[in-house]
Amino acid sequence: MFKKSLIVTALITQLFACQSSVKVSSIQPSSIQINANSAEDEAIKNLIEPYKSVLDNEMNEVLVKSSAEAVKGQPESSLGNLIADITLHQCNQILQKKNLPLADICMLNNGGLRTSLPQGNITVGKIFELMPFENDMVVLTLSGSKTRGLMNYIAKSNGQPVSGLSMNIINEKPKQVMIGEQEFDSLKTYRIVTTDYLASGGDKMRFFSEPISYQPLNTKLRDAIMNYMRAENNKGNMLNPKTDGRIKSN
Amino acid sequence: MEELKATNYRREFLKTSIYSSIGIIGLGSKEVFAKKHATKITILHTNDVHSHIDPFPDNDPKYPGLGGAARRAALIKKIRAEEQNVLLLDAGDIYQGTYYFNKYGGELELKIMSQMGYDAAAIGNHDFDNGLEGIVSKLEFANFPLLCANYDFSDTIMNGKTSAYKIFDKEGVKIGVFGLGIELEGLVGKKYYGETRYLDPMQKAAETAIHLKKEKKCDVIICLSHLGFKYAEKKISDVEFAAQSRFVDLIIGGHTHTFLDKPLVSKNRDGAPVCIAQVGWAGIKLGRIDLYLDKHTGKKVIEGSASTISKIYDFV
Repeated sequence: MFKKSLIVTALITQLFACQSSVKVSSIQPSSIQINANSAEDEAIKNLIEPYKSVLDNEMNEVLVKSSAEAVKGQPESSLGNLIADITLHQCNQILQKKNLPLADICMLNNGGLRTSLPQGNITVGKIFELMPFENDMVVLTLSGSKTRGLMNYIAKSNGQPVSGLSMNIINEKPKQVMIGEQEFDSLKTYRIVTTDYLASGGDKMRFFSEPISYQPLNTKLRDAIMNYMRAENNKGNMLNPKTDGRIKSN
Repeated sequence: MEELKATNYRREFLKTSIYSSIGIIGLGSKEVFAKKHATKITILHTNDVHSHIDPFPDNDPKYPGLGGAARRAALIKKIRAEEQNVLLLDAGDIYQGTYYFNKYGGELELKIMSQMGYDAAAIGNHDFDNGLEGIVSKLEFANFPLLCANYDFSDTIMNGKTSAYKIFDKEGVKIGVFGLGIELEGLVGKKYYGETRYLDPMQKAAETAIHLKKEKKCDVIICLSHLGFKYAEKKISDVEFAAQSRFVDLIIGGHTHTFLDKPLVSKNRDGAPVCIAQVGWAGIKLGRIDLYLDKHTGKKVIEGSASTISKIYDFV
């Protein structure tokens, strides 16, 4: 049972007396063996097993099929578009049920998308890999000038996952910005769905500070996305991730 | 058993050759030191395990087949069989990183650590990821204390659920272990940490260390820190803390996921040595520090190493 290998990558030895200066000796790498087959502690393995089997079952649930891979990229991407579109859709479904004004835009961040989605089966496990964090959906009403800050942020960072808007980025500046079918108007206010993480200034999204209104939807973004996928699957639909030119850059 | 003996022999040989090579204590005096008076304390440590219960899959681009709680447990068990006085410590961020956490909220992580015999853990920023409720509701699964000297939880549901320090007695050697946490604002959502007050870690560390040394007469003082190893910007880190500290012998760190090949030895404000250790993240490595203490002369000898937990065969 002592065949298990452990690799001691380095061994440093030093000697010192209390309250006196230390002397570091030479560093000597050494190694002790570990063996693959017998290296696991049975008691711990048994402790893990029931948790793991439940979890594996749930994680392997197929939510929906996708007609194509969805990958991250800039200025726009098939993955960013897909997730932002789903987020805006789910948000507005919640708002509609509550008889509240709908959101105009969804704004997420590239950094928050942690993996790609494959063509074919999309499992619960995949969506957890995509979004491991427990972020909630929130809707903010921003002034026109704060919304301009959002546009500037998107342009400066060469595109983020968005829905409900389009723009041309020219020399890191937002041009021809459309909100839905209408030109962006800095005298209007806009409603934006995002995550509580970004709304509190995550990824330096300072334009979200001091909004006109702040409305938590009390729904985890990951749950909302999985619900959408299940519902689409039940309708017999597939996901169809693609780029559509919503953000262009020179 | 044959192999174990061979391993011990090799380690013994290594030690003695290192000792004699530096000539502070020659081979002879090391023998006297080690065998007649010294108590050996073996400190095993992890940090930022982040709910990594299963090993990384074999197709992982960075850590193929590494880590795994059951393997770590076996390694710890083996060391316990060889050593009299083992302390098993964690420097925080037990939570968040795999589905196990999303699904079970840390229950399994804490059960595993309890079964492995962890003696104490620090509180990392990600341990707040399900809020204070996410810590309190899972404490029943931990049979070891969470240590933090610089979070004031008195206006929260965590009040009275943590301690600043714990003292361990190993063959008459008193070892004081205390915890330090990182500044939460900007790192953790306010809704998660609530009314937790972050207190100056240097001031609380100074108070705690002097209390452990002077009042509690600890022979060895260990800090479990989630401050982070070091930063380019002006921000308190383990390296900074070590330089300002007094009476602290070891800083077992976390947060920055730093894989230290060997513990760093620096000097505290009295010019005394402080050893800083950190073993990356995800339970890929188990840190080991062997400390020999001679209560008669007050001499301490510290050896540190890190074991990679893997199934890689070593054809030595």
